[in-house]
Amino acid sequence: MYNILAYTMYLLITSFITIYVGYCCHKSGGMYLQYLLGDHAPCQAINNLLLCGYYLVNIGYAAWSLHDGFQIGNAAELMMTLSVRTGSIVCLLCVLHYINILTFYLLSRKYIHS
Amino acid sequence: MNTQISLLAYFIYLPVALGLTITVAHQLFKNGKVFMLDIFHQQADIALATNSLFKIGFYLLNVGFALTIIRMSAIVNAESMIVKLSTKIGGFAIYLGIMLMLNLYLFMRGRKKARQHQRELNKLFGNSKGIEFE
Repeated sequence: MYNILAYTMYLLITSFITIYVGYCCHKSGGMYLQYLLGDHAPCQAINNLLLCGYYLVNIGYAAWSLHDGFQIGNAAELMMTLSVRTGSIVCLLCVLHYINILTFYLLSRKYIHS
Repeated sequence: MNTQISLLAYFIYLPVALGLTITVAHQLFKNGKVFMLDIFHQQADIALATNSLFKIGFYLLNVGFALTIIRMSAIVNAESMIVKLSTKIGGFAIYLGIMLMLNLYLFMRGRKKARQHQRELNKLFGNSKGIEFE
């Protein structure tokens, strides 16, 4: 009973966070790309492809990470397991986000120098 | 009894930690706009976009960390709950403070670099103008 509830809540929370963060990054990321890569680069296409790949990786990972199952006996354990799992997904998102910003920054320096 | 106290501890910890994160992020990036405008030479749209990208990163990092460290073991009575809770919240607040300072340092550094660049450009521009005049 608790396990089913936990799976449902976990999938709902993680997909909501993933989609919301993706939307925000897509919105402000376009401007950032335009600034870094210049007007002649296909910024909108890069942005859309990045969003697509991001959704696939994150929702896929969130679903895949259910493979070992939850072992939940009471409400306190439910709360703790949900928090820890969601927290690790959010940390993963954060690492990907910073890698993304750094990659575009390095890419733009190369682009400008060449 | 034990389960209920643990549950209460989680219900106190989560709003406090998330509220602290949201307050700190709001303060930091409200004041960070000024630095971003300096870094991007007063181009408001790009400065705001980059500001919001960094804000998303800050939220993700700190909310993720707050949720990951929630595990509190051996809560048996109200006294141990208070001790554990205040240790956890205090530790998280110190971590948030360090993150705030780190972000501020990055802003300062970016601003210094941008100003240096601007000064060099000005110097170059001034020199070439001077040569043209002669």
